[in-house]
Amino acid sequence: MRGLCVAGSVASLCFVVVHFMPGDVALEIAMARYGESDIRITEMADRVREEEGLSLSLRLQYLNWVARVASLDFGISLVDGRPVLPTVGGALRFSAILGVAALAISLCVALPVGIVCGLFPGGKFNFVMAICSSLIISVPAFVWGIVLVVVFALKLRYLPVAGFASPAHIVLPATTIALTLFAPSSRIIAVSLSETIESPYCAFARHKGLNEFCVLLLHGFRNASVPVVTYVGMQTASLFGGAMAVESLFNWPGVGSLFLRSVTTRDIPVLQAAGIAMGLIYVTVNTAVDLLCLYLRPTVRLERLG
Amino acid sequence: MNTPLPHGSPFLRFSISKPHALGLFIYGGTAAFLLFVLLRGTDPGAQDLANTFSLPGGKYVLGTDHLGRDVAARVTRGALNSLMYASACICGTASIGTFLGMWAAWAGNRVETAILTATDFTMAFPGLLFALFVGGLFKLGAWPVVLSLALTGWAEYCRMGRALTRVIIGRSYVEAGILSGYPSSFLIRKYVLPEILPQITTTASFGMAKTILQISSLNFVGIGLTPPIPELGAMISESLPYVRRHPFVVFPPAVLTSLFVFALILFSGSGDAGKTKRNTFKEGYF
Repeated sequence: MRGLCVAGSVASLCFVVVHFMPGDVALEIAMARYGESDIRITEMADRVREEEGLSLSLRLQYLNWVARVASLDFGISLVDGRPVLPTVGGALRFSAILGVAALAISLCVALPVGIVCGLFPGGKFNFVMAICSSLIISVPAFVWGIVLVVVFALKLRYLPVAGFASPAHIVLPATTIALTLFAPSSRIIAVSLSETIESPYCAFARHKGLNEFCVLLLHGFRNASVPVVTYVGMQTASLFGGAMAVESLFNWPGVGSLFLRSVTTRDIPVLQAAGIAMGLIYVTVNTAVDLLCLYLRPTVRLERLG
Repeated sequence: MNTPLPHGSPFLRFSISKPHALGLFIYGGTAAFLLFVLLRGTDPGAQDLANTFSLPGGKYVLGTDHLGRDVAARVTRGALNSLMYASACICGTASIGTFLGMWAAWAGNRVETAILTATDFTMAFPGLLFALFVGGLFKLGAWPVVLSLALTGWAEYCRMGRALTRVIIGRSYVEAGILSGYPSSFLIRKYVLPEILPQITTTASFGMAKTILQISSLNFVGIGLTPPIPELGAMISESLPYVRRHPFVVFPPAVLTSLFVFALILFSGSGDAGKTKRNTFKEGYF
């Protein structure tokens, strides 16, 4: 229920911001459609205003818009005239592919690294990894992207520079995003695990005679995974749209670059549809994470109440 | 000698650890460099088309870009700008968020519920996209971006401020203060604020690192710029077409951004240093 509210308010906010932005929306649309140099541009703008119902009062426009969205009619793009829903859907699919690849790479590295760091919090490896991940996170993601492109695509010529035609194209953008995902998630895994194995219930498990391996297996991992699941969930949600710099660097047709393009061309229907989709994704992922955490550690429910 | 009071000033107890020292060193170094460039007084917009892509050294400390502009002067302007935007954003979010958090914990009941609902709501909001949206539609330079980042950023501090304040309110000396009839503003100033301030600043310095990264990636895709004024992210994307033959032009803005962020992360002690801090933090987090 709260989820729907968030999605709805994200969408309404899109609507409100669009209506309070400076400049004449109809004129912008006309310019985008017919080219800026057209002499009859004001005439065109008037026609657009009629067609899109932009001359109605704000309240009427809002009601119109709510009714259309409720019937899943997002209209057609103001710029290229194609229906919005497949455009946004396609972008979401591309973002999802990239996101899954990046998450898979990052978790494959972060889990073993984080677990080793967490088991030996005083060790040299942990210290080195703490510094490494701080360094990785300090460099903006798109700079990592540029470094990878220069090294692997331009100098060594192993991989294509940008685009989305073949499976090889996904390697560089996915690795770039995975780097920025890996750094914080490996730290969270390490800290969470090292706190868990020092906890009273793990001490109790040791006292009752379980060996260290059983303690980890029976009491350690499941409890330590709660913050990790929460954090990875947040990362997953942020991949839809949050990776826009990397997406636009690699020309990857995901939601981030779609959003960026629609913002610069002021393609309002696409923006609104993308906004609603993003709100829904955030909400779905958050709910899924909450449920998963509840399953992993039922006492979370008690802590919430306190 | 007095024993340290539980509510003493955080600044007196501040001891410099190794990461802090390194962070200060980085800031000192970059500040000296920026000052040096500022004192030379080169115009960041002046073009020297006969001298494009010159390597560092001589007249141009960091070389020139594709239009023969002085990279050092441009980087300096860009760095000062991003620092200004990021610190404005963080000062706003941290103070408003902390205030709301303390208010929620202190007032309880309906006020608390209302503030917490607003916090949950904001937390679920994709902040970077909102900034992209606002900054792209209002083409008024960086301030809309900063404002929209601030609008979604306060929630973190609010949640933290509330959690920390709740723990402190439960203590006996605060209760004694309430019973002796001191006004809440006095109690908050005297007992709550000094206690939670170190943790708020820690979070804030990490938040500032995040904000610098966000602003630079928005600049990279061309959002929130006022064209003649150089920005670090925009400098990187400008140099992209030339990166194959002149890889050096990417480095100054990229390295400077990373240095700022790294130093801030060192200040926030994201390693395993703040163990005891984290435990007090966890006491009332949920």
